Amino acid sequence: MSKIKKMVLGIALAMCVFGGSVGTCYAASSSIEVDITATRAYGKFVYMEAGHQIKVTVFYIEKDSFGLTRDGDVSDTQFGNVTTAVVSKSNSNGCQYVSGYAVGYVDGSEMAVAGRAYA
Amino acid sequence: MKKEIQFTSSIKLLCVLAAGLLLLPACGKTEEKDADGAAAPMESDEIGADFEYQFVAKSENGYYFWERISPDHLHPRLMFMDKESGRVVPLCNRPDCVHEGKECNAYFREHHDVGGGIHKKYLQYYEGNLYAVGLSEDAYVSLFRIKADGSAEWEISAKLYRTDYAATHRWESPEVLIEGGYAYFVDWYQKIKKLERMPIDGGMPETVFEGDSDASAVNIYQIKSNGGTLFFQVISYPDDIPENVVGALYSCDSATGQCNLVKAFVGPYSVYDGFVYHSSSEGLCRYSIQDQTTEILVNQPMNVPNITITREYIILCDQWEDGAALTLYDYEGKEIATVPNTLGLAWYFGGDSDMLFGECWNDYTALCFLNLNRPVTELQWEKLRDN
Repeated sequence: MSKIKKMVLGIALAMCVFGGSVGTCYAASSSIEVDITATRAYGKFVYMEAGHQIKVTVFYIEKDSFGLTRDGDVSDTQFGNVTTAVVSKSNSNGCQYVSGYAVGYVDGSEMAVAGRAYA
Repeated sequence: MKKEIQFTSSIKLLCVLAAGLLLLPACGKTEEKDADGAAAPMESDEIGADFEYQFVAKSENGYYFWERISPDHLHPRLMFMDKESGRVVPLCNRPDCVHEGKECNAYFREHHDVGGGIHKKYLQYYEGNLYAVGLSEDAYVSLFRIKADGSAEWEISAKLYRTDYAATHRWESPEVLIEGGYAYFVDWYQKIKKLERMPIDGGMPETVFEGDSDASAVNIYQIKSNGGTLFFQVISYPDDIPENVVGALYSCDSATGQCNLVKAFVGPYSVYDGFVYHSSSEGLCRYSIQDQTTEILVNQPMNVPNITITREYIILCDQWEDGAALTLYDYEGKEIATVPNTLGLAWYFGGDSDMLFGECWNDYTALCFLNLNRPVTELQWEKLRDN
């Protein structure tokens, strides 16, 4: 199967997220990308405003040598002045990544999603 | 036990659904024997659901599932598909709701949110309620009970085991199946995995199967149930040499918790009425648990496809092939039809005699379904979206 790399630029201008009784407005731009190969799951989320909790999670599907399928996820979380979260995970035990997608979070709320990429 | 209840002023949208939930299923199992004595379900037979994964919850009236995340829906909702009409709606009974965002009753807090919440993957319908898996506020992997009436009423019904999520911010959702009033689960933190069960209303966990402690690792996969019996596969890794890996299918009586070896093999399988359907290097096999004999139904090598048993067909789906071929066979092993993968099916979930489900991908991931009640020549995958 051919490797397709998907990158999605999510411009979150003027996006307001209301949580609980207090509304929080997020106005910075963001970008998210995901890359899945048979042996590696990679995701990167950039949120162009410091001072937030930035998190990227790659949700993947993998299969083992018996053809059994399961899913999983791997995350990276950053705090403070950092604006980029990056995660990379290698596969082992004879398993192969099949596909995956990435979600970017700002302060715990979903902000961007990158389309599924196939190994 | 933390309980969250959201009262709403009126119940209109899903009142028919709520009434239907009170009805208990009438599951009269009947069968006929073919010339070889093998089970062949009759037209009227209620064969139940045959899901590879518990990602779609079948009820008396339809199917529940978690919406997939996309730029249009960054806050995935709990959805319901009406079996008769095919209509898909968010599970929200507020007539004034636009069904978007976190205020909608169909939205449930996520496991990574403050206070814990649901991991939107596993979903099972059991005795009028929906059950999901997530994290409690104190980082226990928990079974959540959700009222299936769109009221957004939910509670933790059982805390299965504790995690170190507070320190690591990492956890893996376990494989869970509810049968006979118990939640059966496998804790992914263990190297030598064991199958445990706990009453769905909480209590002490009970180990019903434990992997070989001499192995370097033991995995337990593919928990299924049929006729009150639980089935699961065990793969043992004695060392790091792949050739030494051994696997087997086990059964567990849900009344006694007693587990027994069924057959030594690993791979996708289905069980119906005392027969195990699985593939081998020889083809599609039907194994009699009672007689311990194997019959080859389709005599051609298969690349470990997924197997779904329905009223009329044995369905094989090879989701790893380009084009993800779905092939329907009758119970004599005769090929009836092949359904093309026109929608980018990437992960096959199985289904029942009416509907098959899976995860399809175009620009973003989405659930899709195949209506088996259509004429064979018109079978096709369709997107599962609210309408």
